[in-house]
Amino acid sequence: MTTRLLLRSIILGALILPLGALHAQASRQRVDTSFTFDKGGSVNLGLVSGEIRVLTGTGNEIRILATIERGRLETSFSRGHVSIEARSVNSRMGATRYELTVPAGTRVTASAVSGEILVRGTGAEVEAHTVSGEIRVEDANGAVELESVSGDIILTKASGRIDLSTVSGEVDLTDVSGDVGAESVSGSIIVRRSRLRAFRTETVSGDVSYDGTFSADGDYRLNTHSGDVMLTIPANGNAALELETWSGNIASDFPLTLQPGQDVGRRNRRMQFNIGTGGGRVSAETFSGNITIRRAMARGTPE
Amino acid sequence: MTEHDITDESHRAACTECAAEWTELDAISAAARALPQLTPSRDLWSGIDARLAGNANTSSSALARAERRWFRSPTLRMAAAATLLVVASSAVTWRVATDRNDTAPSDPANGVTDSAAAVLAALTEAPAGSPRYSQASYESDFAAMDVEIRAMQSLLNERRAELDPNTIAVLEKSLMLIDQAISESRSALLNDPASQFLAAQLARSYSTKLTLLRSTATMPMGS
Repeated sequence: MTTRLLLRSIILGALILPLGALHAQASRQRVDTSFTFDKGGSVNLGLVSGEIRVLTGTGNEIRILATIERGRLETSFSRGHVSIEARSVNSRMGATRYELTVPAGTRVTASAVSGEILVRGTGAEVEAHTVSGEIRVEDANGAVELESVSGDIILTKASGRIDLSTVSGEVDLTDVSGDVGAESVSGSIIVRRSRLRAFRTETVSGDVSYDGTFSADGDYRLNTHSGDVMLTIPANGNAALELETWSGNIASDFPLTLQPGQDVGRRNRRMQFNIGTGGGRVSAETFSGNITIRRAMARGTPE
Repeated sequence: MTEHDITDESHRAACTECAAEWTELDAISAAARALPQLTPSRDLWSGIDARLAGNANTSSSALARAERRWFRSPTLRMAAAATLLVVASSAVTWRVATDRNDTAPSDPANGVTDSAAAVLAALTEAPAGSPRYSQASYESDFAAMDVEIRAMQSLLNERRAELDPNTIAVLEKSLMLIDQAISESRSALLNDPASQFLAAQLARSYSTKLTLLRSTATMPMGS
């Protein structure tokens, strides 16, 4: 009797297990394809939870690897445009992952609610939005728009018209040129080794830092409410500075010469002066933070 | 590829997902329609005029970005329509101002739709020789913005259950930081009412708060 029961269980298990595996396989969708793709084409990727990675290959082929658990992928592929969107099935949708290798010059638009986005090496326009994931873009050109709620935004080697916005994430830019607008509520906004023509940034409690060159016709406006502002200016740089802090301090590696009417009292410190021959307008304002003007070390010199 | 045309009534009848999203959009639209109309003070126009002359700054683009954000996928694009309704309340700022000025351009496409940004422009970018934007005027404008902020915060409260608790926590912490900044600027202004720097700081905080609340109103469910 016991042996028969055991045998039945084994047979039943042998029948049920593959069915379960089959169901699991059916609830998981995978796309793996590659085809010739136009240089200058565009990809549009959207998911709720997971990861988006767009890398750059050397040829004119696009390679797409996409997976979703408990959901479906809505896809549209052509020589000039690829679109992949994650969709729920019976109101259920699991982790989703896209990894694309695209030709250089491909324009990328990517959205994720809870997921990280990486776009590397495209040398073209990038637009990315997340709620909680990090956005990392390396080597972009043209219009770049990156937005998050709590995810950090990291942009390296980019040029063009760049708009960045986050609520609580950090904004970190390195080796960037062109016009940058950056906003944050609590995150800091840091720019390193860059050559901006215009830089307009606002944050409520984050710090703001710019280390780079100043264009003669440039316009740089750095504002924070309670954060600090730091400007790192080349030793031979030129800039027309306007600094103001309500309750913070102003410090500078460069000699400051007070002009008539300038106020360095206990409250509302305000200074306006030129470094070198003047030039691009640089405005740094903070309500309660400090403003520091540093002289840049020559590249390669240990700080 | 399946097309989900949410504006198609027959499609909504067959698609529960789109029907639910349409209902949600309808609720947001109703809330947006209930928002108060803002009336800017008399001399706010000088700031608006400066902006129309091409002095758009970072803050002025914030609202436009609020319209664009989140909406790249069909599902997320749904919420974009709601933003347009929210924008309508601020567009009144521009319209009221132009109504009072015969020489104002009639096309609002390049105009100001963000009342706080317009106040900021009036404080920081008014052309030389233009009338000074007085404390009484910007206080009046801030009071009008407070009305809009209260309405938007009600909308946020209604959406609380639809958003991820972590996102709600981030938003609430951020709103507290902004409120603290507003409070500090206001206190400082009491000591130095003539300070355009402090008034501008206050306007920036208002602008940030409005932009954040508007963005929140249009975040997709589950964000």
